Formats: sequence, C-alpha cells, structure tokens
Amino acid sequence: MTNQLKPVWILAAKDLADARRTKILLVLSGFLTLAGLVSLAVAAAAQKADYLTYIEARDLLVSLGKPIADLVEPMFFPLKLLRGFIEHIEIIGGIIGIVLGYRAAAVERGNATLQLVLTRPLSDAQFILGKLLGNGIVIAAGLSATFLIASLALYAIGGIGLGFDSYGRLGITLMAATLYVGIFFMLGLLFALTFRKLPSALLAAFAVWLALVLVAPQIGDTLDPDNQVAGGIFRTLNIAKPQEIEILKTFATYETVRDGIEQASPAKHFERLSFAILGIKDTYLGMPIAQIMQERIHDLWWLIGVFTALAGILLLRPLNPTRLIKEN
Amino acid sequence: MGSVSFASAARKSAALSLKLTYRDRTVVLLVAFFLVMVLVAAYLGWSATNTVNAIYEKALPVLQAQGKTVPANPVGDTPPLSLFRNMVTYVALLGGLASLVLGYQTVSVDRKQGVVPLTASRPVSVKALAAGKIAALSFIIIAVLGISASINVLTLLMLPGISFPASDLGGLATFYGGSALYMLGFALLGAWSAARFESESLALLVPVTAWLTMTFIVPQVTANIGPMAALNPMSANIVPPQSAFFDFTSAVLGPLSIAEAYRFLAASSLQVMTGAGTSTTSASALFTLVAACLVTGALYLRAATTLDKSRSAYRD
Repeated sequence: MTNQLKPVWILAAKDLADARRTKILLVLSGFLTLAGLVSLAVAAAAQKADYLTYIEARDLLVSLGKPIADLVEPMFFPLKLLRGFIEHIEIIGGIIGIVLGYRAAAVERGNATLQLVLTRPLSDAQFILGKLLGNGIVIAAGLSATFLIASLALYAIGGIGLGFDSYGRLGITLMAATLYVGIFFMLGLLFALTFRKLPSALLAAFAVWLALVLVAPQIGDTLDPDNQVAGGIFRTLNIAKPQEIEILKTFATYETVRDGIEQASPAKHFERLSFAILGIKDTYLGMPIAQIMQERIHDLWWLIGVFTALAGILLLRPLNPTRLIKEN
Repeated sequence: MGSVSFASAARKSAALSLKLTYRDRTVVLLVAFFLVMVLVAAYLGWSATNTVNAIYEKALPVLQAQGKTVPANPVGDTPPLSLFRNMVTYVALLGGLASLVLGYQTVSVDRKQGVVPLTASRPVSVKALAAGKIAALSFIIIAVLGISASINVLTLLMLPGISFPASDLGGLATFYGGSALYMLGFALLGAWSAARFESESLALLVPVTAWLTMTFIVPQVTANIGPMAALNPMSANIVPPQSAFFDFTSAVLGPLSIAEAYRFLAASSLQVMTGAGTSTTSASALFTLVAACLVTGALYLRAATTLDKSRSAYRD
C-alpha cells in the first residue's frame, strides 16, 4: 500500500466501523429489503390471481363447448416479479444514498473532527476518496444483501432455482443499483460539505431527489398523449400502428421535450436498463444479455457519467473547514 | 408571578412560529418549489389536453379515408378541473414532504435553541405552546393552499379555450379541503417526531420513512398500485385484482391508507375518476384524513408534554 493510499484506507475503515456501530445502514437496508419483499409478495399474489382468472375463463369456455385457442395462458417469469423491487430501489435507494452521504459529512462536522482531520498531512482529495471508498463498500454490501434476499424470495415463490443467466442479469442490475445509489450518496455528501446548516443540506438533497426521481418521470409520463385517455388515445380512436407512427411524427418536438425531461432523471435510466435486463419490459423478454446491453448501453453510460461528474466535483472542490463548523 | 392564560400563550406561540418559519429559508424554498409546481401542473394539464385534441384533428382524415366510424373527441369529455389532475400527485409528494419539514422545523428549532428549558421555567402551559404551533402549522398550510387555489382559478380564466363554470368551484374547494387535511396530518407527524426523538437524524428519518411507507408501500399492498404507478393521478382508478389476498389487505389496511384516501378524495373532486376502482367513498376517505390529523395531533401534544425539559437538545 503506497503512502498516499494508506490514509484513504484508514478513513474508509473508520466509516465502515461507523456504519456497523450506528446500525443506520442495517435499518435503511432492512426497510428497503422489507419494501422489496412486500412488492414480491404482492406481485406473486397478482400473478396467482391472473392465473386463477385464466383457469376460470378456460373452464367456462370448455363447459360451453367453445374454443379456448384465443385465451392466452399467463406465463411465469420469476425476474418479472422484480418490477416493484426495482421501483423501490429507485425511490428508497435514492433516500438511502442521500442519508449515508449526509451522515458521512455530518458526523465529522458534528464532532468537529473535520478540522482536526484536515490539520493532519492529508489532502482534501484523500479525505473525499476515503469517504467514497468506505461508503461505496457499505452501499455495495447493503444492496448485495438485499438482492440476495430477493433472489431467495423468488426461489421460495416460484419453487425453482434461478439459473446462471438469471444470476448474471441480477448481477448487472446490482451493479447499476450501486451506481445509482452512489450518485445520491455523493449528492448528499456534496451538499453536507457545502451548506452552512446541516438540516438545510439534507432538505436540499431531498428536494433534488424529489425533482429527479419523482417529478421528472411523472412529468414525462403525464405528457405522454397515450396516457391521457383511459386505454390509450390511439386505441380509443381505432388508429393502427403505422398511422400512429405517422401522426406522432408531426409531434416530434413535443416528444423530444417529453423524452428529454424523462432522460434528465437518473432513476429513469436505471429503470430502463434494469427493466430491459430483467425482461420486465416485454420487448426484452428472452433477449440475450449481450444484445440488451448493446441496445441499452447508453443508460449505463449515463449513470457512469453522472457518477463520475459528481465524484470529480467532490474531489476537485477544495474543502472549507472553517465554514463547516458544527451547526449553529 | 401570575400565570399566562392558555389563549394568550397559544397566540404568542403561534405568532412566533409563523415569524420563525418565514425566516427559515429551507421551508420558504420548499413552499416556493410547491407553488412553482402548481403552475407547472396547470401547464401540463393544458398542454397534454391540447396535444390529445391535436392528435384527434390529425386522426380525423385518416379515419374518414379508411371509412371507419369517427369516435367522439375524448377532449370533449374532459372536465375543466381535470386540467389540475397533476396537483393530486404534487400535493401527495411535495406537499406531504414540505409539510413534514415544516412541522419538524417548527418544533426542532425550540429544542436546538434552548427555548424548551426556558419556557419550562415560566408559568406557561406546555399544551398552550403546542396548540399555538398547531394553529401556526394550520395557518401556513391554509395560506399556501389558498395561494395555490388562486393560481388555479387564474390559470383557468387565462388559458385559451377553457370554460370554467362556477359550479366547479365546489369541486376545487373539496380538493383543497382534502389537501389541507392531508398536509396537516404530515405536518403534525413531523412535529411529533421532532418532539419525540433524542436524535435529530432519527427525528427526520422516522417521518420520512412513514411518508414513504404511506405513499409507496401501503397502496401496493392494498390495491397492487406499483411505487411508480402511484405517481400517476389516474391510479385512483386502478381496480385491485380479484383475490383473497387483496380482499384481505384492502379490508384491513385500506381504512389506514392515508395516501389512497387522499388520492380518492382529490381525484374525485377534480373529476378525474372514471368510476373504476371506487372501492371507497368520499365520506370514508374524509374520515381517514380527519382521523389521521387527530391521531398525529394527539401524539404531538403528548410528545410535547412528556419531553424532558431539562435535556431537550438533540444528542447529535
């Protein structure tokens, strides 16, 4: 270990010990896991209800002597049950990241150890790197445990073990989730190392989270003309797909603005990548991982880009310890 | 030393809370964010409706050329108030969170600045001070929603091609009444948490977790409304699948589901309900919201009176 990296690792180890001692990660990850398990149980119940409806309809048609060829039997794809789980990571995972980032700075500011640490032969960048490394491990470990429990729950629900391919898909989703939560961790850390008042930093980070995770996707979804009429505008008007595409060409600017608002949200990129990899979106169901990655690689690059940009800001921006005294 | 009357103490506490809230930039910024979203909601509703109308105009010649029956323009069935359908989401998200913060800040500022031991040494009723804070929270929420309603009415009058019958004012009033109850419930939850916990981080995290649970987890269990689907005001129309699981969860948890009760009341008063999924009634939704305010109010009063006056500062 070089001399430059040693203090980074010491700081990281200290944050890991903090996370173990305060149990905050355990509580937050426990909440995410619980939310994920609830969504899996609900999805399984909904799937069972669908299947029972199908059986009832089939039996009725058979008893009436009518053909059942038009009835589509609901298929069971275990990874599809993870839809709610992924959405909970989008929402609760963002909060976990912000809280961890906030605490990583607040604990140093509250105990007035920030000034003390920076009086040692330690650069600002080493301090930030230590925080990123320690909390990066904490986030990855927490999410790994959550994913492991979710995969065990899938086994319990479906009664069949996941194959190598499914674990590969879960692994890619876990990696994307770690990047996504990491983005919000850095946002919380950046704000807590910038704002004079700590609660203001936390609330400002929550406001950004609201705007990026909940409001931007909601605006994009609301502006979709097909979501304005129950059943879809084109289906209601009985317009075939080719004509629909032709008509939508005249709304290209509107669609660009709508998509742009959605694209501004890291949550949307994480969701699109995960839904494709896990086959939650029907068009990607059964498609090989390599092909999906080829199609959705821009979502991954977007997450990596935001992650790198925030890390760059944190590492390059000088700290001002005299400004960051204990909250007054 | 004569004791200060309950009414006088409550009035002074309310006035001070209002002044401190006005000075708190975080709360003011969150409220400003909310009001901006009120304008955005109106624009979005108008823009989306106009786009549907434009698509209908483009589709007409296509349908006529194909000799198909031309259905009625869906925009014709759109009530004016439904332009504000996104408000349902913004009150549930921004309004709920801003209210939590407002309630939390109103109480935590006293604990952090050492006001609690000071007031304990004076002949002032703690309940009167807490009642003053509840009055201040109610006033702020009603004022913000009043401004929001005025923006809505002005928008309806200014947007081209929209007529706003006076009879719709009742629907708008019901929507804002339900919104006030919903936001007050969360403000009181924030106040309770700020008074109840010894750790400031916990005092902030607990109500946020409760808000996340109420908004995203409970509706999923009772009605199979996914976390992201809960952002869509039209989710008030979702019918839970026919199964013993959802029959049980909606019966047991349904009456406690504050977010669903609010979404139902708000969506029906803005006329965005299509009639599907109306498993509850406006009266039961109103009852749930009022009960939530009473329970959180009682919890806050209890936490304020049982707070250790000698060690009121947070541990972290």
